[in-house]
Amino acid sequence: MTEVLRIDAKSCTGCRLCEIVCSVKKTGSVNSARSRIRVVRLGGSSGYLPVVHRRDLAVIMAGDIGPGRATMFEEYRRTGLAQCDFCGGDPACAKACQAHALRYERCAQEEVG
Amino acid sequence: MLGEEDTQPKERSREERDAEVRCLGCLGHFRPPSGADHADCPHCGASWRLTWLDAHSVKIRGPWKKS
Amino acid sequence: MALNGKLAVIDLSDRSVSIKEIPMSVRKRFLGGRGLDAYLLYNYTLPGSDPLGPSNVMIVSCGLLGGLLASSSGRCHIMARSPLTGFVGSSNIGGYFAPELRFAGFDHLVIRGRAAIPSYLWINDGRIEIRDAAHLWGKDVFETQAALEQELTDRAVQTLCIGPAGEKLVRFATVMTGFKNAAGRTGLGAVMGSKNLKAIVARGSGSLDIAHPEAALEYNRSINERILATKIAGTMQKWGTMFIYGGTNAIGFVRTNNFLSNQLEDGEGLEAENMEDVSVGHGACFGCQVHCRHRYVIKEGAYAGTYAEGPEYSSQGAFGSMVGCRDLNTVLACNHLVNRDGMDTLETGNMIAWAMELFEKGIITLADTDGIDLRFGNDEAVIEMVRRIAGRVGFGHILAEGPLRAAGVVGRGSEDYLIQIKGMSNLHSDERPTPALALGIATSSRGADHIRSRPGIDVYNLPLPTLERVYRDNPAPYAGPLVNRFDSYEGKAWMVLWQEHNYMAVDALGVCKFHTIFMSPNLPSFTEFSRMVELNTGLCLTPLQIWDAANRSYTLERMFNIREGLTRAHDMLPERYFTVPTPAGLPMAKGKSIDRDRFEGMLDEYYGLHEWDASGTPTPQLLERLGIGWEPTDVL
Ligand code: SF4
Ligand code: SF4
Ligand SMILES: [Zn+2]
Repeated sequence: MTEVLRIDAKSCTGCRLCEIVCSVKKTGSVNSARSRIRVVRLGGSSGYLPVVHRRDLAVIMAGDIGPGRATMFEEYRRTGLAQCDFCGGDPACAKACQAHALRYERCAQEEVG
Repeated sequence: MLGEEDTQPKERSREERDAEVRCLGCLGHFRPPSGADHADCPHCGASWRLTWLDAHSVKIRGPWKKS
Repeated sequence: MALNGKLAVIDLSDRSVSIKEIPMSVRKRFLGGRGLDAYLLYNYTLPGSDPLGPSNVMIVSCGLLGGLLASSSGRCHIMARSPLTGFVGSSNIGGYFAPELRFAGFDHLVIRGRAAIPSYLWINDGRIEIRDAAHLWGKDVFETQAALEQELTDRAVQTLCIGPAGEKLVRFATVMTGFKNAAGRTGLGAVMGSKNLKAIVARGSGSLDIAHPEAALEYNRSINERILATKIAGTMQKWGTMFIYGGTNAIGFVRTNNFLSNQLEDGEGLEAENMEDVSVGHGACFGCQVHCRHRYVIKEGAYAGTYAEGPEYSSQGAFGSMVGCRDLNTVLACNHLVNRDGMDTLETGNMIAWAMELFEKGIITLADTDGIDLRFGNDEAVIEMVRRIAGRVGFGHILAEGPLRAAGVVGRGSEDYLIQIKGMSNLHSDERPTPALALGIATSSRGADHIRSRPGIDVYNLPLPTLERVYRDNPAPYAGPLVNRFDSYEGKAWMVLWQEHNYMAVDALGVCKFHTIFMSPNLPSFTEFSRMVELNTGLCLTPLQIWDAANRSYTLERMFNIREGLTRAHDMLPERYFTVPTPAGLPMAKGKSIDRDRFEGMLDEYYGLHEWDASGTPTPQLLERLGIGWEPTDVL
C-alpha cells in the first residue's frame, strides 16, 4: 500500500481553498502563486482542474485533464516553486476540500505502477 | 425554508436531525421511511413529497397531491 | 500583515489617481467592505449629487477579512448613490474579484468623474491605469471578460464589468464578475455606465500575511466543519438557494402573479430538484465550501446548449411565480439573459410582473406593450420583455426606468400595483403573514430587500432557548421580549435590528451571509468574527466592538439617506400589505395582512432601539457616542 492524492476534477468547485491553505501552511501568507496546488479554470461546462506540483505517480487524476496540467507545470517551472510534499503525510489541501475533489488515501502499489 | 435547525427543544444528533423532516403544516417532526418519495405527517395527517439529499438526509419537497 | 491594502481615489474626468493609506483607527471604527464604504460614500459625495452624473462616486471594496482564512472571503462590496432610489446604492457580489483586488494592493477604490471615452481600469500590483475600452463597448458580460483575459494575456485576471444594460443606463443594471456573480441591486451598473467605465480588472501577486497561521488554519477548518454540519449547508451544497422554493411555496410565502396570490399553484416545475437534469456541477466563491451555485447547460428552447450559472431563489420568483410561469426553462433562459446583459433579476422580474398585472386589469393594453401579450404565464412574452428592457426597446424603455419612474410615465393609477419600497422592488416573498420580515423590508437602507435585515430564522418558530442564545445580549444588551411565533409583532423590532447589525458586520468583513445566522441559528456571528479577525490580522476587536462598528456604518447609511430626503414615510410597506389579505396557502399563511397600527408600533420600537427619534433620525446622543457627531465625519 502507498499514499496517493486522488484528484477528481469533476467535483472541483473552483473555490481555491486548497490554494489558500497550502500557501498559508507553507509560507504563512495567502498567495496563490506560492501554493503547491493551483486551480486552473478550464472554462464553461468544463469546470476546474486542480493541479498539484508533484511529478511522481502519487497524484492520480480522474476526469478530463486537457492541456491545463501541462500549462500549470510550465508555470511551476518558471516560478521555481518547490514541489508538494503532501505536508509530511497530512496534506492541508485535501483536509480543507469538502467538495471531495481531493482525497488523500491509501491505495495498492499496483495502481500507481 | 423551515429548515431542521434547532427546531426541537431537545438536543438531537446530526443523524436524527438529518433523517427527520418538519411538517410544514403543523411544524411537528417525524421520520419518514428511508428512501420514501412521500410520507404522511403522523401528527396532522398532511402528505408531503420528499427529497433525499443522500441516503440519510431528507427534506420536504412540496405537498403530495392525493389523487 | 494582511491589512496594508490602500485606498485609491480615481478621477476619470482628469485621469488622476491618488493613493492613500487606510489608518488602523479608521479600520477599527468601520472595519472595511460595506462598513468603510458607507463612510466613504458619506464623505465623498455632496448632497443631491446626480446618481448618473460625474459627481456621484462608485466605491468598490474588499472586506476586512477579504482573501483570508474566513470560510468564505471573496465577497466584494460596491456603493454609490443609487440611480434607482436616490438613496444608498449598495450591493454585495461574490466570486473572486475582491481577493484579487487585495492581492493587487488595494482594499477600497473611490471612482469619480466621467471618462471622456469608454474606459477600463487595469489594477496590477500597486499600479492603476485608465485604459481605452472603445473596443469593449457593446460587448456582453461574458464577451467582455473573455476579451480582457485575452488582451491582458492572463486567464487569472479578475474582472468587474457591465453589460449592454449598464451602458444603456438601465436603472437596475448590475456590475458582474464571472457568469453569475452580480452586484444586483440598486442599479450600480448604470452608475458605472454613466462614468463610461466598462470594466475594472485586477491582478496581484502580493502576499497577505496571516497573523497566526497555524491557529487560523485550524480555526477555519473547525468553522467550516460547523457550517457544513448544518442541514441548510448540506442542502445548499446540493440545490443552492433554489431549495427554499419548495417549502415556501407549499406554505404560501411566495408572491405570485405580481401580488395577486401568495402561492403558485401547480408550480412543481420550478422546484430545485429539476436542476438535476441540467446541472453539470457546482461552483463556489473564493474559499467557500458551501458552493451554492449550479453550473448548468440549458437543454431546451431558444438558448439550448448555452452554459450558465445559478439560478438563485430570486430568479425562480422573478421569472417564475411573479410572472405566473411554471417552466424552469424560462427561469434558466432569463437568468442567462440578465447575467449576460447585466441586469438585476429581481427588478427585471418585478417590472414585468407589474406590467402583467396592469395588462390583465386593462390598465395598459397591447397599444402600450408594442403588441406583446403580457398575460401572466406567457413564457415567450417574459423572455422577450427581458430582452427589450436590456436593450431599452419600446415598452422596455419605460420599464428600464425602474418602478417609480415607469409608473410616472404609465400613470393611470399604476403606481398602486408596484411592490416597492423606497423605489426598489421586493423579492418574490410575501411578508403579509410574517410581521418581522415585513418590518425588515420596510426599513432596509437600500429599499425593499431581504438580505439587509431579514430574520430568516424567525419563520421556523424556534424554541425560545435558541432565540435567547442568538438574540439576547449577543453581544449587545437587550432586555425586551423575544417571541417564537412568526405571526407575532412582539420583540420583532429587535430581531430585525440584530440581523441588520449582523449583516452589516458580514458585509464589512467580506464574508458570506450563508455562513452566518440567516437561515440557520447555528452558524457563526459576532463571537466567531472576532476570533477570525484576530487570528488572521492580529487586530483585537471584541464582538461588541464589531457590533458597534456595524452600528456606526448603518447609522451613516441612514444619515446618507436622510441627507437625500428620506423620511419616516419611506419606511413603509406597499399599501396592499395592509388592505388585502393573502388568498392562499396553509392556515398559517392564508388570510393574513399586516395590521397597520401594530406595524407603526413596531416601527416606533425599532426607531427607539436604534436611538433614532420618532421621525427616524439618529439622535445627537447616538452620533456622539458612535463618534460620528460632526460633519463631515472626517475625510480619509
Ligand atoms: S478546495 Fe477542492 S473544490 Fe476547492 S478548488 Fe481546491 S480542489 Fe477544487
Ligand atoms: S455560499 Fe454561495 S454565495 Fe456564499 S460564498 Fe459560498 S458559493 Fe459564494
Ligand atoms: Zn403535520
